[in-house]
Amino acid sequence: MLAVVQSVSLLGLDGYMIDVEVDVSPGLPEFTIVGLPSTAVRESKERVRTAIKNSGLVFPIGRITVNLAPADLRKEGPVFDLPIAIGLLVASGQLAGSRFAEHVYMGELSLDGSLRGIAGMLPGVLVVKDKSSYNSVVVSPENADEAALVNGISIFAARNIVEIVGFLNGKVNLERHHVDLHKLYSKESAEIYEDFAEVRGQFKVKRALEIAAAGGHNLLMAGPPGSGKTMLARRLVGIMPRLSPDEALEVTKIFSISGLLKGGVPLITARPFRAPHHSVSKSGMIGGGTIPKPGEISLSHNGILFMDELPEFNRDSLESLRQPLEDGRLTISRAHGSVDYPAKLMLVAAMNPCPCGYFGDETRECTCTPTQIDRYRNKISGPLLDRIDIHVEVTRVSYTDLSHNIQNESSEKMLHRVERARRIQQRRFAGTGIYVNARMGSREIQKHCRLSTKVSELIKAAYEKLALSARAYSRILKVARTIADLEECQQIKEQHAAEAIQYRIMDRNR
Amino acid sequence: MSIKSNNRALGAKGEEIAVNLLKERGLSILQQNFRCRHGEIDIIAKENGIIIFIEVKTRKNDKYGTPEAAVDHRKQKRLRLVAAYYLTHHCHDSHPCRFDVVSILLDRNDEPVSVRIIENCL
Repeated sequence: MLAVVQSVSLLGLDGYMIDVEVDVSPGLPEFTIVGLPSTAVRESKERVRTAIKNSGLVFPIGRITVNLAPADLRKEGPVFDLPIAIGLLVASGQLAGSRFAEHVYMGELSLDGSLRGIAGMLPGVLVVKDKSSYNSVVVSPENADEAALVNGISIFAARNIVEIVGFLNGKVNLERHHVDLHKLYSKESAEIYEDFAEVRGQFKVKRALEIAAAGGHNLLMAGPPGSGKTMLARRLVGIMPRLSPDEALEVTKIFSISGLLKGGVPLITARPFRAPHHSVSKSGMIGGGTIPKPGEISLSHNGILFMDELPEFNRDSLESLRQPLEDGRLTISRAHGSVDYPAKLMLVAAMNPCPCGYFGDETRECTCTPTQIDRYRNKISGPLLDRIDIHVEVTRVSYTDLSHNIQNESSEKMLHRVERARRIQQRRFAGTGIYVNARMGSREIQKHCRLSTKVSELIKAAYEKLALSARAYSRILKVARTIADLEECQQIKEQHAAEAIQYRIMDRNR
Repeated sequence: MSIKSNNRALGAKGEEIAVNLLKERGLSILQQNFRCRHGEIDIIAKENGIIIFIEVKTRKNDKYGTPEAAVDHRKQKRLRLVAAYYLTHHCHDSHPCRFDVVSILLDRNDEPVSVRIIENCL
């Protein structure tokens, strides 16, 4: 007899509805799964067989064939354990009726018949919502909260096969699972962000970081060892505005697929802050696998990617940043197709000015040869540098700044200004799909960065003197726009432009 | 030489015990020691329309493991081949069927200490 059960297969952040076709026929006992199953899927056989037996049900004797249709899509993960088991029970007559066909099934089975959670549940349920006419999904209690984040789909959480059979036979009542989105979203983050008030001095860098946070600009800090670059970068998260509900859902989807959502937190509300060590590989950055899983770049989507010791990263890792920094997304091509991951991130990078770290320092002598310095700095290619909006020098903190008891400004005050600037941008870009100045295209720059003659001349002078590229020019305009926004100024004034130009030191030193 | 004939006698004794037990249970015996070029199946029986391929394993002690443990992967593969051959030639290849193992432990006097039927092994 043939039974068809609905499930979902994920491809990147999207996926497909899958027909799990299960046939039990007389003949030499066999159990085959077809439809390009991965190893985990092929191992389903053992889990399903044992789970059914341990649930007190009969594992059918005969020739069992399972087809995961469409047959030319690769299938991955233990998500099909549950639908295959249901299909077997229906095809062997142990589950009567057609009630089973009203639901979609996604879950891994333990050997004792209990249902385990899987990665990617949120994107999976979104596939059911967007690509099918089904409106109810049976999942493990481990996934219930995450699955319930989606509006309009009924989620039934069952602990094991026995419970599901009872539910489908009408003998067991399962309530729809609900989650309080409002409560989740407004929950105060348990993490206590480190405060900028703890950093002594470094007012220039703090200013640059505030501008970066306000406009979503990428930023590079160059300075000697011990000047506080890492310390400052870590505090940036504390002055970033909260994720909007849409942004939170996007981040949650990505984390879900990477299996990082376990542990009872169904919704990510804090900005991601990823700080990969510089020995990370290219696939660690981009993502990898036959069906590519997100890498550090995608995991920083709507958040911050902090690359400390930038020249120590290998060339491939650095080059992989180009598309994300320019387009805000990452396309991974594989033999069977390509997957698009969103990658609107803020890059914060830190580097020493040279291998010994003291080139350009006012007090200590640099001990590197010119070749060494060149080779070190050339590791950051021109095109990559061009895509970083703000370059700021971090100098050694003077003793007075260190020991003086002047009140350093708190993150809360800085955040207040950042949020004010962000609100201006929200109004400015309403309905365009852009949220921050850093993402302006040439059309938006034309529209919103009108310059008076004086300001134009100032920028022209800088452009020619520093031999800037067109890309650098547009970046200066964007940063100037953010600086003006921070002062709630409609027009971009000279001082705004002048400050923005200041943040292209790397161009000057080349 | 004596070991070989001892073994054969042991096996034959075990099969005798098995056949009697199966008959008691109401199964009809279709064939014993079915041979073909792929190998041999000890007993082919039938119950409720299902054909049962039975492998009998007799031991005097379980020093080398329980009797049923002797039906390892290689043996199982063989049994499937022989079974397939039988089905193709004697009925049709999608006839309902299953594989059982009868595991017999004898004591020193060749009396059965335990006889177990393990159904649906493959």
